[in-house]
Amino acid sequence: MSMPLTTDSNLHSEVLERKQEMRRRAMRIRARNLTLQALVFVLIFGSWQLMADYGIIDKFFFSTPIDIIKHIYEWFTEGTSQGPLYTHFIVTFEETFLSFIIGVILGVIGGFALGRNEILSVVLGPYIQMLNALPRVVLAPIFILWLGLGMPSKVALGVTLTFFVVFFNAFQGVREVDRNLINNARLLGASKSQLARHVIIPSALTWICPASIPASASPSSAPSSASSSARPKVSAS
Amino acid sequence: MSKQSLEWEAPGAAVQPMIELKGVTKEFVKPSGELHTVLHGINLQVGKGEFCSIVGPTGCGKSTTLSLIAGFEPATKGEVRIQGEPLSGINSQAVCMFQTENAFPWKTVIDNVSLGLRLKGVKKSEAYDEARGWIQRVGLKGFENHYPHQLSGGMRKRVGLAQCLIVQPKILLMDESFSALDVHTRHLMENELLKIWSETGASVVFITHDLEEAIALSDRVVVLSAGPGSSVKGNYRIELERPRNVAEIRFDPAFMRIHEQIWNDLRDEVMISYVHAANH
Ligand SMILES: Nc1ncnc2c1ncn2[C@@H]1O[C@H](COP(=O)(O)OP(=O)(O)O)[C@@H](O)[C@H]1O
Ligand SMILES: [Mg+2]
Repeated sequence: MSMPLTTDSNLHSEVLERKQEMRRRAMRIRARNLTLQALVFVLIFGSWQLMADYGIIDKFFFSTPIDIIKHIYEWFTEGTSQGPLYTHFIVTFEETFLSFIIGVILGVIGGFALGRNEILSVVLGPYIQMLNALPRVVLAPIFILWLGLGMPSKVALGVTLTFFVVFFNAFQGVREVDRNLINNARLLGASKSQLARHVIIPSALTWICPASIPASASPSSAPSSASSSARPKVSAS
Repeated sequence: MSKQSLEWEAPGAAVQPMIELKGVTKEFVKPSGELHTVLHGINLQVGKGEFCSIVGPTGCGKSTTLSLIAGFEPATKGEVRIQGEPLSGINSQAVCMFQTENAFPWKTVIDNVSLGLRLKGVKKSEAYDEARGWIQRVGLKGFENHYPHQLSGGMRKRVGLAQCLIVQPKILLMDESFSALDVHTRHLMENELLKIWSETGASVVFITHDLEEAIALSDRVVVLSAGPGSSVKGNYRIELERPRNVAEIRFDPAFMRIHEQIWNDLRDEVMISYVHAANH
């Protein structure tokens, strides 16, 4: 150490001070963000409430924030007109879960099959693109006609949301496996099934997984991200 | 020194070459439907345990030559022979270090290195034992359970080298393997490669666009002419003493003489390919 010892304690207190200063600044930024967020919240819901109270907008069509909270509170305490709230919650959860699982399984199988097989992808590719271009909302009445008002029609709709996201990512993932990595494994002696197990599936999984999480967490946002351009990552090659 | 004295002569017929390319031509069909001849009538022999470099301007077909030897693709015309046997399908004697990554990002270092043995059905514990030896040999002891993204570029190259050599290949193919490394790391890796190679006795085909690198490492440098339809333009024996230090051998007068001579050959090809590229 070429530095004189006497400055050490000085240095130490200075570092401490800088640290505290940085912490203070981070706190200030957080406080500012929270304040702004709260302000916007109050502005939106406050003006809604006020406009409804003063009759500027019709309470019948727009309700008010306070009425909505009251109603939700009633659902929790007294149940809905069709039974307690939690049964609805369970059913919805079941539907979401089922459509997620079915969609993922079909998507992965379809994506791998078309990704690995040139003929399949040439022949079936256009139809899948066509189906994907269809807005999902228009399918809802059709599924209700085919499958009734119960769970199956809703699951079917959910599957169409999950399937395409997973399908395109699995397809892309299988297609974009680094050629050099495949060749490397081939030279090291990998058979066809070993190639799938050690290279193609793990490589494609890095594409499928990030895609399936947002698709299941918010099905409503899926259609917009279901196009093949919604890539979770940029290929390296 | 005359050019003649440097020219390489094929070993006697009694010595069977490890790799032999006989009148190899490779064509691709362009999207427009035209034929694009990349290699035309390549004749090349690489002896057992020989370190042979291939240099040539960018796009002349060096990587294509390598993929023919590896068996990734068949030749359009001519024959690739490995130890006298015509090659069909993947070359089971060869391994390859690519310019990009060799290591599988989803496997740890030890899983990457032991892969070749595992694929051949070696028990996991045995494969791991063997892999630990190789990991130590390339200087990565302690990193067995790291993933490639946790390693530096040079360390990942070491993983690739160990992964390739653990299967005891007769042929090591290298396609600009070190060109992405900084110059110091590169010299380190090159020296280590030479050391390990001298212990294994594998034949090496080393592709590079860097003539200095080629001379510093090799027993022989092959110059490919500019494409399309490139062929072997020059074939030079490098008789510099081994063991070599690649960082210092560049200052050797003998090195400089050889460099100047081969560069005279290569320069024309680089100019031709430059003009081609400019006209496109
Ligand atoms: N699979 C392929 N299909 C069509 N053309 C190819 C293919 N592989 C290589 N080529 C062409 O062959 C030529 C030589 O490529 P390459 O062997 O990669 O050159 P180098 O490695 O010497 O830079 C290039 O013009 C390239 O466009
Ligand atoms: Mg190349």
